[in-house]
Parts: sequence; C-alpha cells; structure tokens
Amino acid sequence: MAIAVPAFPSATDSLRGRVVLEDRGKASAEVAAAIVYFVPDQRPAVAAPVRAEITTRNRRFAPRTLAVPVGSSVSFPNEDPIQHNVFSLSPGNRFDLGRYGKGESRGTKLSTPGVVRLFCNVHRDMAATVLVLDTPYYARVGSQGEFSIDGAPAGPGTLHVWHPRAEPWQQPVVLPLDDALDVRLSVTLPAVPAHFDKFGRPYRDDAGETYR
Amino acid sequence: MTAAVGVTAWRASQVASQWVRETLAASSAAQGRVERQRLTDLRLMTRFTAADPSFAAYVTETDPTSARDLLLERQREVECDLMIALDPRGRVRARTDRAATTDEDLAGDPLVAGALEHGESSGLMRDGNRYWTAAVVPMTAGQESLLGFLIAGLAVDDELALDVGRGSGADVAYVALGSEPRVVASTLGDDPGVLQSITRLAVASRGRSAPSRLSVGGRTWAVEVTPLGGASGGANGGVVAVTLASLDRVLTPFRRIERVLVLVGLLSLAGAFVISWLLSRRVTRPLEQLADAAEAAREGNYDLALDHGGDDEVGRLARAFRGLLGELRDEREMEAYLGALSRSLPEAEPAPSADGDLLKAGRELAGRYEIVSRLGSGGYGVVYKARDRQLQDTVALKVLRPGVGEHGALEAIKEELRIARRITHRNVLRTHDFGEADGVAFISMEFVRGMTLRELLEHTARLPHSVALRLSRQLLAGVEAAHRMGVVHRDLKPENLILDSSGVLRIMDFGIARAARIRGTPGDRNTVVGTLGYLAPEQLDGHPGDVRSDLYACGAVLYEMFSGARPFTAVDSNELWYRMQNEDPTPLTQVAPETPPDVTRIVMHALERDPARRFGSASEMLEALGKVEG
Repeated sequence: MAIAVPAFPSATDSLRGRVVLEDRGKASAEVAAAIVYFVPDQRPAVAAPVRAEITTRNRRFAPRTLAVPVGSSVSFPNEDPIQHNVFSLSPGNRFDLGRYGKGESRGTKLSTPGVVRLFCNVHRDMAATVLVLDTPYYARVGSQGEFSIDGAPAGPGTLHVWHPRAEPWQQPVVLPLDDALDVRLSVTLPAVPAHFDKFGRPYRDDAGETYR
Repeated sequence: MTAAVGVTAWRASQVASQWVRETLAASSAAQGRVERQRLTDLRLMTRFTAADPSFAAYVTETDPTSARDLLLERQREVECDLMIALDPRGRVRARTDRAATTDEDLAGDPLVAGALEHGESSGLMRDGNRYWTAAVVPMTAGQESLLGFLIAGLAVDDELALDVGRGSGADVAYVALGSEPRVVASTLGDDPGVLQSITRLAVASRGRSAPSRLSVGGRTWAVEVTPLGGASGGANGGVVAVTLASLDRVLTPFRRIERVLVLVGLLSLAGAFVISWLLSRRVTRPLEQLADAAEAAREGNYDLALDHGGDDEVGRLARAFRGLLGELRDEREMEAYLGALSRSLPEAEPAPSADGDLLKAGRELAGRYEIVSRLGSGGYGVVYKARDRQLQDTVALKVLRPGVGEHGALEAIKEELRIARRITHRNVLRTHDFGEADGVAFISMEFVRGMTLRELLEHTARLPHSVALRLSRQLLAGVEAAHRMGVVHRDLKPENLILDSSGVLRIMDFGIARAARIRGTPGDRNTVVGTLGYLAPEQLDGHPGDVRSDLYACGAVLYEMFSGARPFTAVDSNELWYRMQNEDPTPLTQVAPETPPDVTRIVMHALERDPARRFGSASEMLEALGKVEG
C-alpha cells in the first residue's frame, strides 16, 4: 500500500530500491514486513488520515506491520472463533479494545506519531506494529523487498527503513536519486518483543515453569 | 554337587526374598514419592495458572470455544494431560479433552465436591474410563468474586507406571476397582492373561494386601497392593497400585549358577573317573609286568624288561624284583661260565707240598677234626679240608704256620676273629672257630668247593666284562658288609677270594692279616712279593691301613679282572715297591682300551695313591659299580 500525495510540483518520479533482510546469512522472506519512508528536510504537508484494518486471524495479526498517517483510524476485525483482546501501551497511543469474539470489530484512532506496538492480552504470541507517520512518503516493501515511493520532493531528506525484527535504518539522501537503493538489514530482534500485559504486568511466566 | 546345588538354591531363595522385600519397599516408596510429587506439582501449577486474572476472566467469561482454546494453550505450556474450567457451581465451561457438552456438571465428583466445600482439593479423579491425578483450584476476580474453578490433571497411564517402576526395579499396574475392574495402566504390556490375573488379585485384595505370590504363564511375581490417590482411592471405585517384583528376574542368575554347578559337577565326576582309571592303570600295569616277569623267571627266563617305576611301593617292588632277576641272571651266567671253564681246566692236582705239609691226611686234630686233604697254602699257613666230627660237616682248617702266633699274636688273632665271625654275608667266608691243639693254632672255616680268583685268573687271560663286573660287585658287597661291622681286611687279593661252582665269591681271611703282622714280620720275601701288588701305598709306608686301603686293594683286583694285567709292572719287588709309592698305575685304558669308561673311572679312582682321593666307602664304590651297564 503506498499513498502518495503530491505536495510540490517538483516531485520526483519515484524513489526506488530493494531491502534485503538477512537472517543467519540467508535472505529472509520476513522482509515483506519492512516499511520504507522518506522525511524531507523541508517539512512537507501532512498526509490526510486514512482508515486501515488489521485483522486477527488464526491467532495472528494480519498484517504484522502497518504504516498510517497521523490521525488515521485502525480497526481490528476478529475472524477467529475465539475471543481476543487487542491493546497497546505505546506512549501517546494507549488503548484497550477489550475482549470480543468472532465477527466483531473494534477500532481506535492513532493521533500521535511514532511506533505503536499492539498485542493481545489473551495470547501473548500475538504482536503487530503500526507506524504512525507525519510524512506522506511511505510504502510497504513487496514480497521480494522491493519498494517504490512516488511523489517525494526533490532535495535533501532522510530515508528510513523499519522492520520489526531489525534495528531501524536511516540514511540522508538527496532526491532525485539516479539509481535504485540497496538496503541491507539483519535480524537481531525476536519475533515477538518482550512485553507486559495490558495491566503492565508480566504475562504468566511459563518459560521456566514446566510441569512433569 | 548336590550340596552345592542345594546351598545355591537355599541362598537363591534367601536373596530372592530379601530382594522381593527391598523391591516392594522401594516400589512402595517410589509410588508414594511420585504421587506426592505429582500432587504437589499439580497444585502449584494449577494455582499459578488460575491466579492470572486475564486467564481466569477469559476462561470463565468467554464462549466455550475461546475458553477451550486458551485452556489448551495453558495445558501445552504446563505439560499436563487435562484442563477443565468450571463455573462457580461446578458446571463445566470448557475442557481440553473434548468439546464441552451442555450442562456437564462435575459438582458430584468427589474431588470437585471437595473443592466446592473447602476451596481447593487434589487427588484421584475419574472420568468415565479414565483416571487422573488432579488438582482443583478456584479462580477469582479480586479478593471475593469467585469466577469458577480450574482443574488440571495428569493421566494415570503407562507412563506413570513406568515412572514408578523405573525407580524401584519392580513392575507396576494400576487397577481400577468398581463394577468393571480392569487394569488402567501398567508396565507389563498388554498380555490379557497377566492383566486379568492382576485384576483378580487386586479385587481380592479389597484395596490393600500384604506381599503374596502371583504366577501366570510361567512367570512368577511377588505382589503387593496399595491404594492410590488418597481421598477418593477407596476400595470401591478407586484405583489400586499393584507392585510386582519379578522372581524370575532375581532368580535367573541363581538358576544359571545351579545349571553351571550341575554341569561342572558332572564334568568333575567324569574327570575323576578318567583320572582314577588312569591311576589304577598306572598301578596295575607295573604289577602285571611284575607278574609276567615272575612267571617268566619261574620258567627260567630272566630277561623280561621291566619299567623303572616310580618312588611308590610298586616302584620299589619293581626295582627289588629287577635286582633279584639281575642276580639270578648273574648267577646263571656265572654258573655257565665257571662250568664251561672248569670243564676246560686240567684235573685238579694235589697241591704241591713245597712248604711242607704241616699235617698229614687222616691225622686227627683237637679230637674233633680229621684232616682229609691239603687244599693249599698261604702267607699264614696251610689250608686243609677236614671233617668236623662234632658237627658232622666238612670244614676248611687253616693251620697257622709255626711262628705266626708268637709274641702274643695269637691273642690278637683271636680278638680279631671274634669280631670277624660276626660278619654274615654271602660274599664273606664264614669263620667258625679258632683253636689250638698239639702246638698247632688253627682256624676252622666254612668249606667251599671251588677255586680262588687267582686260579681263575691264571687260566684265563682276562675275565669277560660281565663276569668281571659281577665278581666286582660281589667283592665290594662283601667288603662293604665287613666294613659295616668295623672289620678291615687289609690283605685283599685274588688268592683270598674263593668262587664256588655257582659263581658266588667269598672273601677269606678277614681279621688275620693285621693280627699276623703284629709281630712286625712281613713273612718271607716270596710271600710279600705275592701280595705286594694289592697293598695300598700307605700300607707300604707301614700304616696299618683302613677301609680305604681295602678299596685300593679292590681297585687292584678289579684292574686285574678287567684287564688281565696288574696295575704296576716291575722286574722285582723293590722296583714294584718304589713304583707303587711314587707312580700312578698304568692307565687301564692303556692295557685294556675296550674297558667301559665308567669302569675305568671306578678302578682308577680306587687306585688313587692318596687315600683321601679314593672312594670314601665301600658302599660308595659299590653304588658306582651298580650303575655300570652290563
């Protein structure tokens, strides 16, 4: 999903490149969760809020990552036969949707830029991230890591690549670029980040408490 | 062997009963330990899970599907076999083993009832055909509000049985009593015969029993029954743990030992039979040989070979018999030789009376002896054949020359003869008496028809080896017998050795030589020359001579018998005297090269000039001669 809002007449045609996520020396298919966004040095017009969805399905959030402009609304339809409880404790965007079952959907408005980490209070393994951005120049990479951002203004700025399992990557660039960018990331973070439940307490510690 | 097997069996039964006691005790302890541990862990784990308010709210408030989903997740995490969420009244909201049916109510379950009443309970739980060790714990929101109960359970299954059995070495079976008693779980596999027997035993025990025996299909166990699961583990409807200690397993090594013992015993017996047969053969074979040889000897055959035999009685017997046969053989050979020789000898002539007869034939002496004929003469007198009227026997009378008995010598001769008479040996001529009559001193002796060795040597250049060897042995045997009595001859020479017609050699004149010399007169010169060749060098020096002097003389006689020559040759007695004192004898090998080396060695050893270098005794020399082949 790429939403480009041409703000300046001098917008470049495109900002293209490819992200490779390495996991123990091999290119990982998880690269598809990466999000690329460009922040021009001269602040551009803020993008218009959107409505987006993250579905709970098979005890997973889908998609795992989402980028939305500031002020967007995200809804969480539950397609599982069991009840989930979506919440976030991320500063500025705290919410708790409570438990709800199949076919129901609840949502929230994300009004503070930043990384919003989402979890299910029931199922600790469920995790998703929403990037709340104040730039309209962003895109999710394709299945092979390729990306293309249209309409970014010519001139200097910073290109960011974000992936839930890699350290944030950023680099100053001056648009337009002649060549496609190659960005290499490495997996350094766990699939599900350490987190507390919605009360700010640890989930039950089942790591060391095995039985029999 | 029977004793060994018996002891083994007895010991085996002892060890077995001890092992059974220990194993059953260990199993019982393991049973208790595992059960307590299971309950403790279950209670802890269930409380911990139930204490999570989100979990508690979720499983008690959401739909059954959601609740079951989370229960399953928790069940996987804590690795138990069953989780059930109940509402506050004991009705099932969700359970992991199956989709919840509507209105399933566990309030009647003893364990749940206990929790409803006391807040928490744990123990054995039954669900249809399945049994669980379970804990029931309340789930609350905050302090007061009861949301429901969480049940976590561990199956009573083969794995539990194996767990208990592993710690004790016993087999374990869990038997559900009740309307349809059956084995719920065991370490024994699924042999229906065994399981049925165990079930019957468990039912008969009514929940608990002292150790007893159970035999099924050739297997035997010591069995003990104890109740399982505390609160609800009653005689009826409960589960009992049956502990089985396999006697086969503990007795197997002993059975093996028993088999080995029997086998070893049989082998030993067989070995003993073989060994005793061989031993008896060793004893009887020489005896058979001896018997054969004895029979052959009776028939005149002395030449049968006999084994040397060992040091035992049979060996001694064999050696003695061999010696006996040897003597018989010697005697026969000697007899044959002497017979052949005597036929070739000229008719015996009356001995020349050069010395002059002291007594005429027919003369009577001492009123007892009648002179028959003159036999010969020696250095000390003339020998007559005489008739002893008193004993009605023929004797030899040696009448001493006048002068021999002078200067008290007669008393000395008497004394010597007194001792010499004690010598009784087949190779020593018996001396009977000493007497004096009509101014004549005489010695009466055993009369032997035969010839002296001197006569024999004069008629044959050299004796055959075997004859010489046999005569040598007889000579030494006689000398040895005399020496043993403390009598030294001092004048051994061929003239003093008489051979009878059967070849037996007898030594004459023991005790006379020394006594006769007391007067210090060696007699006339011819006599001295005649015997000079046999005197030992030390005797020539005036030494009276001892046993070693006799051995020297024997050496000289042997030298002559084996070679036909004298050890020294000289033109006259002076030269002989000198050479005997200063020179070694002509080596025997030089005059008779065919003489066996061991004979040569013996002869030359006896002829050593220094007495200390000769044989130490007659028996020593006799023994050396005994080893000579021939």
